[in-house]
Amino acid sequence: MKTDFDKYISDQIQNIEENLQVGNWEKFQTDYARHRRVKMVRLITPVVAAAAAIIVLLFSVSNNIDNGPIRMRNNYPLIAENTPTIHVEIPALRKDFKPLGERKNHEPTLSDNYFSADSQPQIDTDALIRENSEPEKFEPPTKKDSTYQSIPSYDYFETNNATAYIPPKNSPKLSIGVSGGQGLAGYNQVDLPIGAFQYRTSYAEENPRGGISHEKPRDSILMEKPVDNFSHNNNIKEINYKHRPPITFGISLGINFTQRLALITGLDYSLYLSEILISYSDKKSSEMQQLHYLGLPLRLNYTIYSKNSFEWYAGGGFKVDKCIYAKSGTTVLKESDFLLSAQLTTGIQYKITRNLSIYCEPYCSYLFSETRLPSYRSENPLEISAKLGIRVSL
Amino acid sequence: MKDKNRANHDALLAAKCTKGDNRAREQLYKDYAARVYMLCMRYTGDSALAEDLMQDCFIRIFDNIRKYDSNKASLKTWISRITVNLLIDHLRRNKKFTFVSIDEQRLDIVEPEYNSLIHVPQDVILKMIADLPDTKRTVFNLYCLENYTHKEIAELLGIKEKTSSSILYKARVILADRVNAYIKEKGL
Repeated sequence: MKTDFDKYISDQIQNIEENLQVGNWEKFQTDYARHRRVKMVRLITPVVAAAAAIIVLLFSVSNNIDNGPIRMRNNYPLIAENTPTIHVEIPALRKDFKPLGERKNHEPTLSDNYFSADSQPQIDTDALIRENSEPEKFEPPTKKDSTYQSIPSYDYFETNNATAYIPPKNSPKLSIGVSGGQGLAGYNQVDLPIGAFQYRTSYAEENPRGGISHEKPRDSILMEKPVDNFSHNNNIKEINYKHRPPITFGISLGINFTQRLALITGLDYSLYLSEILISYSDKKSSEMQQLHYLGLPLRLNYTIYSKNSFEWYAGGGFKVDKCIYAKSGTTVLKESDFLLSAQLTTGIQYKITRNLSIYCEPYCSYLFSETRLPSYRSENPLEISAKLGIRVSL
Repeated sequence: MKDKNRANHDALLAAKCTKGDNRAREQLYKDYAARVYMLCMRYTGDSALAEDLMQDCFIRIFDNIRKYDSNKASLKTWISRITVNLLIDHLRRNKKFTFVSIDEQRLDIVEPEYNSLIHVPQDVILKMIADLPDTKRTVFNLYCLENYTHKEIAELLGIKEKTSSSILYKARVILADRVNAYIKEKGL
């Protein structure tokens, strides 16, 4: 219970407060601005660290799973002329790697059509299958390995046997591409007759990209880049691509339909770098391929959890990418097709102001379109990654 | 009526601060700087430290202004609570509290005469409060000046209500002795 003494002191203190002139707003303003910067760094740092950890984890897992197949897909070596067999793993023809029974009703795929000029007659695939599926002509590289089956080769090969890897049906984890599988690790060589290579180099010289006729080997997709850039060199023995993960920047625009539902769009820029390693008979050299893409995502986001400035959301949608510039060494390349991909994403968002937010989005994207330019994306249609960005909400 | 206007003004000020209006922040700072400073001064007894803590208090106030609900409490009460909490945290971090039961040392309070007391300058009273030991000063401030109950003080400081009551009693005894000594010394 308060005494008179307490009340008196309380009144005195009240009087002091009312008449006191203290405080330095200018100094406080400076201190407060500094505090907000520090606070922002403290908030962003764990988000960036978490995103980095997720990315590292995803890449780590991805590399463990894909180690073998990626090496296989990225290698496009050549062998000497008259080599009796070829072992081909062709990214663009992955759809062709089906059991032979299914291939009898094979219809031309996008990759088939792509490398066949419209003016030229189509390859008689069934005839090729019949021709090349005769058992006495087939010499698989590893007979004990039941996962190797013959596939048709093409008319320019005098020794028309080819094998391709058919992944085991119960191949664990890997679902990237029809031809994926951990068993590919042991087959990172593509052997082609050197004569064929010479033929293609001269062809490529006469016909720029896109003018390849059906008479040329359909698997020239493997050779397309090397041919274009390293023609007139008969000493080339092997050409390997080493694709680096893409560097992506983007700006995103969110339009909220309801408190939880938002339409997300924006503009993404992606840079795909690939190192092309060329092995000659007497030396090795390398050059860099760079593909610049602009992407337009369109996605619906649903906010699962929201508290204060934080939001956790998930969404799905599509993204269209267009190659705006491509270059390999000193050669400028052209890619006119659009790339369509589907995306599933989840993310956390922190509102800096009412309209401005930063976000971190782990996402999963699957590329539906085919592209003639080999890159990390074309080799890994299923992409799992994370984005950091700034979002302006209207 | 004046209180209602004040409440509306404060609610508007808080709302503007929430939106990041810097002029509103400045207004709030100027309105409550004395209050916050006095609280810091009374709890720490050190003017330099009080100034530093005042800045910290306003940073906390502006960081949390969006949580302020004008229907639950006045802005002054809310700011006082935030300030007191920060000061208690500061004192606790710096191990300023020593809680010793003083039940057995209970002494009689000889309260100063009111007629004499009114002649004691305000700054002297403030100095006397500031010179109290940390624990006693804190409990005295919380109970007598911030109108906390012993239960609330006990929860805030993590002590028993009885301990709070004992500490307050001792603080009153010390303060009364000092005031009486001052009155006697000055012949008031």
